[in-house]
Amino acid sequence: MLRRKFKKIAVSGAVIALLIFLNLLGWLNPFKNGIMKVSSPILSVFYRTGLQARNFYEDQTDRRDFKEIVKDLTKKTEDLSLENARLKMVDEENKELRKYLNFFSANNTRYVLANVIAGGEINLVNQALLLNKGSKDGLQLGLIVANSNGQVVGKIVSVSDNTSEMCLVNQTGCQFAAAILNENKTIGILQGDLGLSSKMDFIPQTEEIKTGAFIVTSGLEKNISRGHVLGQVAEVTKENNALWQSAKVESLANLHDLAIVSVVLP
Amino acid sequence: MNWRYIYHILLIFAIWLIQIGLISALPYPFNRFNLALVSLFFLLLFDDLALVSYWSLGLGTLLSFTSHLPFGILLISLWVTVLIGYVILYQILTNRSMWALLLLVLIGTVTSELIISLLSWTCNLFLNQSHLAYSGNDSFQMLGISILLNTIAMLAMFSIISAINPKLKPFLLIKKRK
Repeated sequence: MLRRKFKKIAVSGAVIALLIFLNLLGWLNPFKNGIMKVSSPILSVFYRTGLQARNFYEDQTDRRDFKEIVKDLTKKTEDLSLENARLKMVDEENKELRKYLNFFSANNTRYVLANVIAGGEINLVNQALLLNKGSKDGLQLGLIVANSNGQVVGKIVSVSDNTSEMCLVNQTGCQFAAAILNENKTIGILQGDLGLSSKMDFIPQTEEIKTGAFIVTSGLEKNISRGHVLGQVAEVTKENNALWQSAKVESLANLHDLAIVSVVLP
Repeated sequence: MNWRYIYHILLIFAIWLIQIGLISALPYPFNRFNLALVSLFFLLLFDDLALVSYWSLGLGTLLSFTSHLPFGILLISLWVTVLIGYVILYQILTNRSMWALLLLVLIGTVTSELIISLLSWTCNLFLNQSHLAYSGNDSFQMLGISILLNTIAMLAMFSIISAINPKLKPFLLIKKRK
């Protein structure tokens, strides 16, 4: 049995040697050419099938890679969007601060910048804004609060060590000693009217007030200098038999999106 | 003419066509699969060395026709690998468990690649033709992939066939033929 096996192995070894020898002589070439000729169409079909499989595999791999890339880019976009939003906020804040700086530097006004940190209630009708600066920063009761353009937006109504509350110029109870920029520089009291606008009362009937005239602080109030813009006359109410006339005043400032304000020091 | 011979010749041709036409066109790492070697090892399980050595002659000759290596390298490599595989399977390993097959394919693949590299290097040395240098499994990574694919294929084939054919059920001791 074992001898027969060895004989077969030896025969196959001899066949190998013979094949190599015949190939060296070139005698295998016709056989090789014949096989290649016969098998070429089948090989071509197999090769095309293999290529299709390769393309499919590479498509899948590419798709998987693209998915990873899209995932990566989505994450980066989200990060960049957040960064962009943060930078926009910083940019807006920067612009706002520059405005403050320009305005108050030009007017030689002392001021304290404060962030609005919350809205608080004074009573049922009026709301106050809570500022992050207080008496330790030099804030006092009655100081006016302005926006970046120097327009008055409110007044300090309560002060603690580190925070303070301000009322808005259009809120009831928020009063200012005001003057109309007309010929006689008429003075009066400006006070908020239910959070919608302001109203200037006790103007003598003899004074001539035009719509569009500017209202500024009169300087008659303690710690408030003259000339800070409070608003503009929108409507004048004058009755023949009344002792006084009144004017509806619209603030020039946007009172709804105050984030940074400046408290004007005396 | 005996139909059995035609059947074997057709099978050898089919395996050659699949190896050369289909598997070589597959993407990496699937093109590292050596169907010829796995088929020969699978045949070894039937304990017919003569048949397997004739198969290795046929497959080796056909593969040598389409190889860029000097004629005979693949032929000798397959033939020697089959002989070594036979010795391992019937003289060293005492069973036909999955682990035995795994070891057989591992040793067989490494042996085959080693012989190819050695013969290519020798040819290159004597013929002084650098283009003959065998550059297939020039890294351990590729060799590892070949081993992995061959092993998976072998185990799959063994599992399928043994589920159908009771002759290939794993058993511990090989019966001696009378």
